[in-house]
Parts: sequence; structure tokens; C-alpha cells
Amino acid sequence: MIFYRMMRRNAAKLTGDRSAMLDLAHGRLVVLSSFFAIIYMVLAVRAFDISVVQAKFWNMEDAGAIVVAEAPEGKRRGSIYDRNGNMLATSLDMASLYADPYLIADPEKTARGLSEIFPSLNFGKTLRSLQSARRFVWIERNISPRQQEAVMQLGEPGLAFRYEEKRVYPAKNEMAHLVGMTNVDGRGLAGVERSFDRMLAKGQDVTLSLDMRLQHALHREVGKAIDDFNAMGGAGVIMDAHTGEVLAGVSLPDFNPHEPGLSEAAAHFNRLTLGVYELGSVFKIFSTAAFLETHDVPMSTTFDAREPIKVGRFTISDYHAEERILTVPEVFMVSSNIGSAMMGQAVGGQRLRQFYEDLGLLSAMNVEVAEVASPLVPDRWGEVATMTASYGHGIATTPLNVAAAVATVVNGGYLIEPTFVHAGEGDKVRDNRNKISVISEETSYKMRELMRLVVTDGTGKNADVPGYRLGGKTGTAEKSGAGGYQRKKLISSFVGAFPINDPRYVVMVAVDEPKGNKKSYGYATAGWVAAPAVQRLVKTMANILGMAPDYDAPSYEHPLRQYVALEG
Amino acid sequence: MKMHLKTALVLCFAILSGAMLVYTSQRVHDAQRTLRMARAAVQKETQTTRMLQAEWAFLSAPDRLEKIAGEKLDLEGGAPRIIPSFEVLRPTTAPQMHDASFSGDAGEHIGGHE
Repeated sequence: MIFYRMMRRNAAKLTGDRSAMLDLAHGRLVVLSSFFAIIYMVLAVRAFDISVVQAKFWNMEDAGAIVVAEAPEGKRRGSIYDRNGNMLATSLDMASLYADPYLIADPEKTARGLSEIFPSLNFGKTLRSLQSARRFVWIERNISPRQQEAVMQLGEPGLAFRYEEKRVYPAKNEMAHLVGMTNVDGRGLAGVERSFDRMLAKGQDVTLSLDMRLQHALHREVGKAIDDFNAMGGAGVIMDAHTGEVLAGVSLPDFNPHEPGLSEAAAHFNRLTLGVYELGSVFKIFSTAAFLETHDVPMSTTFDAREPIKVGRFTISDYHAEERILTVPEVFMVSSNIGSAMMGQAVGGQRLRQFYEDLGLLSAMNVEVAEVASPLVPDRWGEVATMTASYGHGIATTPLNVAAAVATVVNGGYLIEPTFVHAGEGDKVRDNRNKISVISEETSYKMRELMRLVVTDGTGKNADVPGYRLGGKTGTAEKSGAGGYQRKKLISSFVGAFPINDPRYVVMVAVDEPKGNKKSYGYATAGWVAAPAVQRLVKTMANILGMAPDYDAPSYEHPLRQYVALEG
Repeated sequence: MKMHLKTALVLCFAILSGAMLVYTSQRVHDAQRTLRMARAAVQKETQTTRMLQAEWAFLSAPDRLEKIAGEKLDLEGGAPRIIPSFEVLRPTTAPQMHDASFSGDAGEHIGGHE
């Protein structure tokens, strides 16, 4: 200012050109000073803004949060839950640790610290990595929050994290075939992950009809049957008999979805929905139902099972040959192929085929997993096909197809289409159930009586659970191979429903190529292999579902006993 | 330096407008930040919830619980008979009636039949 006043005083003494020049200089000086003053003011205001006004936004935690918020939304894949809200699959941001060796202050100390946090790390290798000339070195992928905390405690500026989305399957192997898995890019490769890929990719969650507890029980029992009988594999399903909701579905062997590459190719094959098998005598449920539906005859109607039937070059005989005349309940109870073939003949080829079609046994299921097989049906449905299809040979279908058809037969005759998606609870579901009637209530009732008889007095005795009135049917089928059916390679299965007076659950266990053991006296038939597995399963289910046993319930099969010649 | 009134007014208006603009933009900026932070917090909480759910699912997996119950507590799967029915739970003796006297007007009827 003093300098400015001096200039003004001097300028006042000057006149002409010199005065004008001084004015110009004075003006420039004012403009320049103003410019710098404004700049300093702006900087001061901004400094105040950042350091005081916005201070709350700039602590480390918030800064971290903002970074997270800036990640594109909706990118995260949706989760998959079971019917009780238990998580079956989800995507988690997993921290992966990397190092910038250039910034590592003390490589030896850091390598030692890391080796302590991650026991799988080799000290020497880690040290070499940290001393390398590179600017980026992966130390460990997908570390836990606790390990991440420990790494941060090391205080090493050269260590940093990258967040990667990782698909996690808490149920591991137990749900592998149905829940499926994704590839490294997060795209569904199998199971529900594949069939609901678009929905999950949008971040929407999926709730399945499966129950983790029942799934475990089924997985355990099918696994035990496989182990006990040194079998090749197996499948099992638990289904709601009224809604078709699959509560549990198992295919063994299975795989760990976290490390699918470690399993053999066979373990990735879903036997429940993709495997088609000739399941043998369980088909007698359908042929007998067809017979009772199309013929208004009493249960005392007889079939001559004294001699095997010869049809062309084929001979149909009984495994447990009674060699006598059998009533309808006896045919079913002792699982007579001859009697069932005769029933099939009585129904007629076209009508039997149509009946199977109506039950959904001859077409691929419309379910929410992509891995679904079409049943194998004879090209020409002649007399032989009619007779063999009556006892489950010459026609191959999936275990899930069979379980759904059994649900249709026992629930009053209403068509059941299986589903893996949970629709909801209570009356809403029952109201929504498909009301297409395939068989009459009366036939359904008779079939339930017959199925109960199999468990109380027939081939399925080993499946009985006192107090729960399980009804069912055994099926032991020889596998077909080169040169025809192979007597030693069996598929042993049992399909049942309980409580049989008003079935709520359909259960099925099928075991592939079981070998007889000491306990089974060398037998590998369904009554020895699959029936005990179902018995154990029903016991566990009762506990899980809180179903109290009813020991005083009237004997459901009692009316049929008059038509049966019982031993002893 | 003479400054016309009009110029002064324009300058004041410009300064005022500028200040308001700065203030408004600052407010918008703050609001955006707050929103981002709220979203971030929600996302963080969601992620934490997912993590906890996954951890819970791992820890409460039936096979794990079964294994632990067998190894540590020597427990086995229960049989259906352990599930009680109402008949079992019904008391075997009639509950004792305590001698209770109800105060009130004489002749007042307190529920029940005759």
C-alpha cells in the first residue's frame, strides 16, 4: 500500500505521457493483485471446505464404503435358498491378497508373518516372490475375513487386497446335482444355477422346494445303501404327494461344487432326472391301477400264475414263483410278473400306453432343472411291450418320473407334476395343485390298500415303520446290456407313500448294481437293499417333521387279507 | 476508479449468484455423497448378512451337526417313539383345585354351568 501511495504522489506530480503510463501500470497491478487475491480466497475456501465441512466424509471407513458404492449395482448373482430359508448358494466378495514387491519394506519379516497367517504358504517361495522385480504377485486367493484382518495387522504397505466374487455352496456335495454350479465367470453350468441363470444373474433370489434336513437324511440313507451293498450308485427322492414339490433329491456319486474338477465324470451325472432305468416291479403300481380303473371287478379276481407265459420267443416268469392262482392283492403283494402281464393284457396295449402317458411316464418332465431325460419307450407298442411294460421292463424312465406318477396314484388320482421351486405355505399351495384327474378316488384308495399290504405282508416288509403306515412297492430289475438282460446287474428300488391313509409324502430309493452281503444272505433285491433304506429314511423324516406315530390306527390293509393266502 | 451504480449492482448480483451457485452445488454434492454412503452402507450390510447367512449355513449344516453330536455328545438320531402325542402329555391325575374364595356380591355367578 505504501508503494502504491508513493506512486500516486509521484504520479500527481507528473503530467502527459508519463502520467498515462503510470496509470496503466497502476491498473495492471490492481488487476494482477485482484487475480491473486481471488485465487487465494478460492483456495482458502476450498481448504476450509475439505478440511472442515467435508471432514466427516473422509475418514478411512467411509472412503472404503464409497468405493463399494461405486461398484455397479445388480451385478451380484442372486442367492438360492431352501424352503426354510437356509442358504444353498450365494456369492460373496472374497478378498484375495496380492503384493507389490517394490513397496515391501522388509520382505523377510513380511514372508514370515504371511506364513504364520496362511499355513499353506511356503516361507521360501513367499520370500522369493516378495523379493522379485515384479510389481504384482498373488499371495493367496479367497481369504477369510479373519485372515484379512491379520494381514492388515502386519502393517505392510506393499500388501493389498482385491475383491473377487466367489460362489459358495454351504451344503457342498449334498445338493450338488440339484443346485448345480457356476463357471468362473459366474454363469450357471448345471442344475438350478443353469436353469435360473438369467434370473440369478439379475440379482434375484430363488427359493427351492428342497428341505436341507430331509436332503441330508436322504443323502445319508442312499449313501449307506450304496456302501452296504457295494453298489455303483443310487438315487432318491422325497416328494410332497399333493403339490409335487420335491423336498429332497439325491443322486450318488456326487461332487463338490467348489471343486468340480476333482470328481470323475460319472459323479456329475444326475441319476434322478437324467438317468433312465427299467425300474421293474414298481411299475406294477401303474399297471394294477390301470387294471382297476378300467375293470370294475372285485379284488378276488384271479390270475393263473402256475406256469410262465410264453409270448413269441419271450418267456415271462416270476422271481418269487408262487406257482398257483393268485388274486389281485396276491399278484401285487408277491410281485407276480405273470399276474401283472395278464392285467396288462386285460387293459389292452393302447389303453395301457395311454394310461402311462397320462401319468407322465412316457415324456420328459417339465421341471426346473435343465438335466432332464426323455423316457425310453418301445417304438412299436405290441403285445410283448404291453406285457413287459406291465412289470416295468422294456420301458425306461427316470426315478423322478416314477415318484411323481406314484404321487398321482396315491393322492386321490390328481396329476402331479414335480417341481423344485417352493410356491409358498398353507392353503395357497393346495388350492393351486393341479386338478387333472387321472384315476378315480376309488382306484386310488384300492391302490393305497394294496401298497400297504406289500409292506405288511409282501416283499416290502423291511420298509415298515410301526406307527406310520407306510405303503409301497419293491422293484428289482435286471439291467439290459449287450446280449440282453444281465442277471447279476440289478437296479433295486422301493417307492412308498406315508401315511398311506392320506399320503403326504412319496419316498423313493433306487440303488444301481448292489451286491448281496452277509446280512442280506447274498440277496441284492429291493426288499433287502432299498426297503431298509426307506425304513430308516421314514424314521428320520418323522423326527425331522415332528410326526407323532399312531400305533392305534386301524389296519389299512385289513380288508384285503381275506383275498390273500398268508403264510403261517 | 469510479464505479457506476449499475456496475456495482451487477457485480453484487454476480457475486451473490456465484455464492448461491457454490452453496447449491455444495449441497447437491453433499447429498450425493450422503446417498452414496447410504447405498454403500446398505450394500455393506447386505454383504455382511450374506456372509453371516453363509457362515450359519455352514455351521448348522445337518451333516456337520450330526457328526459333532455323535463325536462330542455321543448322541444318536432319535427314534419316532420319542415324539410324544397329546395323549402321552395329558396329566395322569386331575389338577388340584385350590380353595379360592371370590369376593363380590352374594349370589354372583362366575362362569360355568349350574
